[in-house]
Amino acid sequence: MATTSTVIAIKVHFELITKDKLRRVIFGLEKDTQGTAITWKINFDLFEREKKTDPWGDAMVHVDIEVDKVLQPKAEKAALNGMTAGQQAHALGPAADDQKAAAAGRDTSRRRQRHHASHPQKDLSQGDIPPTGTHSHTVNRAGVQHAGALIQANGRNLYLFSLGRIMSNKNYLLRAFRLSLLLLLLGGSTVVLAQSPKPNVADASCDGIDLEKDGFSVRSS
Amino acid sequence: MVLILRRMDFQSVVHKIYDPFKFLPWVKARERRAAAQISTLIDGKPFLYASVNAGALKIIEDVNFLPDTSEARVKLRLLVVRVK
Repeated sequence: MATTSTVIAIKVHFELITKDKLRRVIFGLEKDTQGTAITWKINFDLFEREKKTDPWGDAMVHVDIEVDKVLQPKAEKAALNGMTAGQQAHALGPAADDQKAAAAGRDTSRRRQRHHASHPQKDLSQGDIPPTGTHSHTVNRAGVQHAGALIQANGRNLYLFSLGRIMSNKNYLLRAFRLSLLLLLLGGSTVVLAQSPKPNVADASCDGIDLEKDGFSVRSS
Repeated sequence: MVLILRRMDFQSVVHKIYDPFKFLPWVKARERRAAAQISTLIDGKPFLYASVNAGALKIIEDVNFLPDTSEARVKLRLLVVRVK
């Protein structure tokens, strides 16, 4: 019997609500294995409401993205390590704003150009968090917008929604998130530690896996 | 939540659910319910990605081990399936 183990599926589901409880973002990251094909998918949902007492209703924006194969190891790392505080903040703020604009059919490229003219780009993968607002330092493409920005990131880090800071300076959200992540990942530590850093592991069930296969694509809906 | 599949031979698998919050009574009850359904689906049968990824994982998702706290500001759910 083989002594190695292989993670064949991962599902991470983040749900974040702003402090005023008027905006909710659901962010999902999934790994799926079908035979020799491994796919990573990212889901993004944005909900908004007028009053705190209103129901959330249907999602205003829904985006599904299939991660390019070259970024799959980074997606896996993000799945296992969770989102940083900056990524959470960006998901709730600028990313949500841009998704909303895209869903409304507005072209944000002009706003983005104005923004870039007044805000030099920074390497946000180094942990630099820009101020609150609709700031974005990623290149937007029509359709995919911000949720897709992570797959066209700077090539060094898969910074999932790594911009912006709209939460309070007290960082209560950060503390709660880290605590919950620690608890959950401690429980799942056997899996995390058992996972091979190589895409192909010495397991009979993985014979023939070829990550060099092309054909992954980006799509939004 | 971790779903562990152990191959008994090259033809069949058995499953095990690991939940760090199993000590909570309501989680334990839900886990038992999920385990019964998953056992029917995959235990002792040939390994199929479809039955594991689309079947067993869906069962765990539907059971929803988290309490229904709709207004919690942060929720995090991690599901992992591994084959030993």
